[in-house]
Amino acid sequence: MTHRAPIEQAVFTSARSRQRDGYHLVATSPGVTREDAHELATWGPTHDSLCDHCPASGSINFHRLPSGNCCVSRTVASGSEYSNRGSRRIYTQCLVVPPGVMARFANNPFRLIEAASASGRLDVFDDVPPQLESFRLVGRASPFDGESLRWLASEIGPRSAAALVQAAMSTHVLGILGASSSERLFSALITLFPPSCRSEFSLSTGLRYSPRRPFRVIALEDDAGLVRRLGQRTDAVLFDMSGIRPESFPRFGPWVEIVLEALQTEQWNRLAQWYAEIGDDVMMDGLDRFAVQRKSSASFGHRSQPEHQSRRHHRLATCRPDGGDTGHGSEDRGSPTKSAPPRRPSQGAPSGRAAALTTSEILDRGQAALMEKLEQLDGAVLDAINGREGARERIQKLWPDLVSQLSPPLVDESRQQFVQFAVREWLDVCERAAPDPARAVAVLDVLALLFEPDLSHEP
Amino acid sequence: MSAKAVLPMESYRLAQYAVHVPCYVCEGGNAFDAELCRHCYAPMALVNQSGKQKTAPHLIATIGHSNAGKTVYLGTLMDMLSRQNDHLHLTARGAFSISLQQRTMAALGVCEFPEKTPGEPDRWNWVYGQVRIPARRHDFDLVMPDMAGESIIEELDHPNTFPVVRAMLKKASSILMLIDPVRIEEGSTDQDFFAMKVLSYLSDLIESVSEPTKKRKKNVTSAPPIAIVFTKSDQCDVCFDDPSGYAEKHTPGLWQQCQERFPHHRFFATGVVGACATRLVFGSVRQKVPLRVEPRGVIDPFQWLIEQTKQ
Repeated sequence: MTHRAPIEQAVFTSARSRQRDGYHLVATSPGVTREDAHELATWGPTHDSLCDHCPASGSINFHRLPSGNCCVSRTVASGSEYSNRGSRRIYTQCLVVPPGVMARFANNPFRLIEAASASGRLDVFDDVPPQLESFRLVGRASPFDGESLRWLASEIGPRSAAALVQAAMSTHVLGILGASSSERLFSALITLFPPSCRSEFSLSTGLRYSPRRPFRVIALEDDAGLVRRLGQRTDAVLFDMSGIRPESFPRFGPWVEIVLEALQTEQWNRLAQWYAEIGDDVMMDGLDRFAVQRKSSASFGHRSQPEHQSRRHHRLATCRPDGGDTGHGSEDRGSPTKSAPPRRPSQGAPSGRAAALTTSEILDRGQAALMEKLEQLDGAVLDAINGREGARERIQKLWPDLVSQLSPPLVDESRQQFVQFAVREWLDVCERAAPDPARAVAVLDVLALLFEPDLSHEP
Repeated sequence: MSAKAVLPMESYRLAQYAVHVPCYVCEGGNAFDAELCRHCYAPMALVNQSGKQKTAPHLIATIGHSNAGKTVYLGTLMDMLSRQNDHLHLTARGAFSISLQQRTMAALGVCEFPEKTPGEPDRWNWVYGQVRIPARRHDFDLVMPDMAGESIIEELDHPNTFPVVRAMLKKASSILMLIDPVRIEEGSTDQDFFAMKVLSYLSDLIESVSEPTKKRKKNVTSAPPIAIVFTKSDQCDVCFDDPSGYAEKHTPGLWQQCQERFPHHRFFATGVVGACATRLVFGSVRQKVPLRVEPRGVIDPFQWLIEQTKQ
């Protein structure tokens, strides 16, 4: 059981040990691999690496390791360094955390550090023993922390917070200047990402910037040289908390729009429901796409993610034509679908057999097979856009079948929704730093398939 | 069509980024306005300084174990060379070259040793200077970094961890190796083993740089001159009497490797502070402090290296 796996630990500090003098990995527990130990030594902060603004509690740091484990570490200034020159010793205790344990703490390094500290696992040794013990950490953390988000929204405002999320998503290095409490700020920032995306972050709340430690999000001290050096990097963004001008922020991406809405309305439960729905599969680079697809599928009238088909089916079954809940399916009461709008609403039904039918009505009338096919079509469209083999053939097979069974208004409505989805995808592709023409062409190809004249019905 | 506004075309500025500027140390490509090399983190100011000269500067690599006294030695050397005019004079070029001297002298001036050099290469102090020897007609430039001992050891144990150390040892025209005799007197063998590792690493580097068709004998002759300096000799007087004999007796591994692999080597003994004491800070932290500044034999190793290099 990986979520009960032991946590390994290591200490990187200044000491005179049997192997070496100076700053080095003084001690590790037996389970730390050679590759991980080498990586810990590379990221380990040496003399005078703590920012001036760093509190006495030290800097919390988080990054991935070659083994797939995560390193959650705390760096403090404690004692004097080994050569007795009078300088403070920089002491870093690294916890090598298996992915399962990280997942138990919602991939939130701050919650894990809190738990480790509460269990007395973060004591600073004056003389570090040559070998440390691995340990198991009890407890878990909620993926969501409304209190920290409320603090963030009140501290810098929803729009600035959204801009921070956008910057964290779109850059390789985000340097934050002038944060009053970097630990609290980073904790809130990481809460605005689903747990599956959090382990992609690397962050440090109080270590000086160094290219040797390529943290993705780092708190900067007011040092003109460091700021200039970071500013020269083309992949870095500086975010000055003291001079935020919300009106200057560019257009936000789909995920950040969702975050902004949640921060403005303080509807934290909606954000929490999104996290529950996202699950473990969506990574950072797929977050915007997921948001777009989720929004468009909400307007499709049925959801598009193949991995959620069972939940999708259940959700559709509980949705009435007026958008309310039938009250069935208590398992799904906490999901975002409860408040979702009715899917495939009829656009004023002109005439015909099923002119006034919504997709929910189709389902209510026992045409579950038809609904299932519509969902398969959604999945096939997404697969085709993602370039998966055989997806085009599935569309070519499913779509004529559906056209023959659906009424003309529903066919038109479906096409309309697919066009809207395609336009969003197209805009998404165009707005990326590295546009993906193959994806844009795939979108066009799919549209062409759905609008082939020989398949179109007579009005 | 009428002009409504005038927009300056400044796209030419982008053209500057199309041309990569090679780092002086590792020769990796960088943008023209980079402050540090993105590959090895050496300051790009070295390129700007060396670009103004007709001949490439000499690189003297100063290596030593952690706490061997590299910062104190280099800082004092810079200070002494910048003040004397009659024999050998060094003029620092670029403001960044003054930092090491300033840091060392400021600390020694208040009876403290300079703080430890951080392990991150982007925070090391570098010296770019112009050496003038009155007896010779031409001046020449040299580059000397103050590296952290831990970084050197890490590179020796795990090659390519610190590209800057590797690149510098590869490019160095001469080597200044500092050994701490106090540790030797304490019975520790780590200084000897460290020196052996360095020499072995250097030999490998030289062999990898040399053409495979060359014979081993030629490889040996292409080895850079090495000055092995016993620092802190004020606490180990016996070093001053016969540094070479001291090395043969107390660091036999180092002595043997020098005889076999590096024909241009010489042992020296230096001392910067006359005496040291230990004081208690905040009642519990022990701090070693210099009682007075009394340089002895500081310039000799450097002068010997310059002579060897110019030959």
